[in-house]
Amino acid sequence: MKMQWSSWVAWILVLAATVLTYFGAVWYEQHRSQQLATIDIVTRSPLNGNFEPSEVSAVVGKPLRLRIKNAETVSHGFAIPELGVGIAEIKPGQVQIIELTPTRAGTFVFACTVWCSDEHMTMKGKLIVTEATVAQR
Amino acid sequence: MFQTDRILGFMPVDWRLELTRYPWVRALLKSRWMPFVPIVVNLFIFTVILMAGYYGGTSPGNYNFGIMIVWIVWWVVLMMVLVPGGSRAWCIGCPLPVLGEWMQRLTLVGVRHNKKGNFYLGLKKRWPKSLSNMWIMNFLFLATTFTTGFITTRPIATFIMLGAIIALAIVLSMVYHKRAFCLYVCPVSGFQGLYSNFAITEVRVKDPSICKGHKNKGCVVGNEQGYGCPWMLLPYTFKRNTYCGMCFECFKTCEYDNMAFNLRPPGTDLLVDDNRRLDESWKAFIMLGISIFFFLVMQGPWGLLKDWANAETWGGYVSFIGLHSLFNLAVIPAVFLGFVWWSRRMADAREVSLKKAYINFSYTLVPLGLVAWIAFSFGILLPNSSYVLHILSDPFAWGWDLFGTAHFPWTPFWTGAMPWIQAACLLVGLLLCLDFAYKLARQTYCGGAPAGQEVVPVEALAARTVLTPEQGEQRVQRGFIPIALFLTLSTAALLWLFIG
Repeated sequence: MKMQWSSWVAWILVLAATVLTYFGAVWYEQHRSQQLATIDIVTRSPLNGNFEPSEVSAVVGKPLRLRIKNAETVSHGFAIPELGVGIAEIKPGQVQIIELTPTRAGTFVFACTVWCSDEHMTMKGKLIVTEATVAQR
Repeated sequence: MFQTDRILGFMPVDWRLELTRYPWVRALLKSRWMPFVPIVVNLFIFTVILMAGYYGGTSPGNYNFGIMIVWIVWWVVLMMVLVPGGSRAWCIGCPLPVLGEWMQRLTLVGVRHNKKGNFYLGLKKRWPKSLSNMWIMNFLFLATTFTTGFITTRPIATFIMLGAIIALAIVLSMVYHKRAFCLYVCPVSGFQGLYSNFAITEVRVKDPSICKGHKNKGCVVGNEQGYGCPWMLLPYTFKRNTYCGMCFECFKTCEYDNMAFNLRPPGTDLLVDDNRRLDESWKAFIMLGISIFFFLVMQGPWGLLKDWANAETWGGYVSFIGLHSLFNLAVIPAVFLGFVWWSRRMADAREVSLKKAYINFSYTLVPLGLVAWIAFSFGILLPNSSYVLHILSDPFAWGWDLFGTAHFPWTPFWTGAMPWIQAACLLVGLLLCLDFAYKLARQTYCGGAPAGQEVVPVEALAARTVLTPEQGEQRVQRGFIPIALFLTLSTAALLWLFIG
């Protein structure tokens, strides 16, 4: 009887350490992403793929989280000059977050702000902000 | 200084403090929750490591939980604390083989025992006798270091490597009996085993006469309280730490509470002339060589070598593998052989075989290799440890900040003092090496007799040659000189390498 009790405890501990950890982390991240629209952007030098994706959509008045990951071994930067937001440096392997709420529609260029390669000046992408539709409101 | 019965002239070789004389320590080691609880803690950490490795992909690993925990925290703690302090302490809670072991036993903490003995699932084949040594572990660990340019920098490479080890451990546990994977295959197990000879702890029998008169031998065959030694050893014959995985099953199965967990002076196993072998010697060579190559690749100023190790070109990568293998498997052993040959010649000990002297003296490289790894580890720890604060808060690089440390900037600690710390490590290591070299010279050339006693070389007994104490001491001193020279030159090379 005692062995049964200890077996149950052992199984619960093992499942908590493995399965629950995995699904708990994934669920928590999904929950966070649902609270605030999250867009992942991977930064690479232009010859290695440039910003991925290079076009990002947003809606006026809707809060947005840009999660920018540097997948290279050189530093990058990120800025949307017209919206006045940016990150001075994203180190190799680092993930940085920008949260913003676009207040006007338009197409806004985002670009790398750290000299990362000879093609640095071409490392750019677009944030396309549209007016909210009736459904989105 | 070079006293036979004292380490560094002041620590008695036979000094022991039995930690299991404290009731709570004994109760802990006899409990079936030990080592289950440390394993579960490590399972949780490894789950996070595998997730971080998978989601981290090919991004640089300095902000990745898997890379940081495995190659900065685990490796450094292993070399600096666990092995010298706790012998195979890592094996206590290692999660890599447990899935296979639980499948074998069909239980997590309990004991399945019937009239025939402990129950095991699987084919339960015996491991081939020709492979019952460290050679597979030697080559596998060396092969693992071929990928050092990837596994220490790319999260997905660490994920693949750990996943492959877990899968291999499961497959082998279903085919072979007990912990064949840990004993003969695991790349990490071999060097832990060899270096645990230097550890300050040990599992031993308290009173061998009790075991002699005890026929049931629960520690070998198992009983209702626990499993027979999972590492397929005879716990009542333990003389060295090398192959004891410290699972503590023998504490549970012993009907007489005759097992002890002892504190002891460092390195006493190096002086135990019991089943010393060439495969262990090569493990010592490989570990010393890899510590040098790792330094060159990770911390050295030669960019070309880094490019080779990172496989920037196939030609470079093949050159890296070739040089790395040649250096570890042939150059170091060959140079050492030259010095041992010289030592034997100086000692004029022709009755001692060159192989015997070679194997015996190779154990002097255990402290040398261990301090080289500790010095190397400082070079990883001090500049990089601040990354750990970041990855604890954001383990999957999803922008989390669990503990408010996700934005802690990269901050090197005490890097100005690093050369001094590394130099101190290497010099202390040299002292220990020389001390053990002298003791091993006495053991090799004079049968291990302490100073002042009549010395009779073991092989000389057969040749009916008896040396006077003075003659014996002189031959030990002459034989010691070349080995001391090798160790001093090696330490000088490491000092030059680490601190320029």
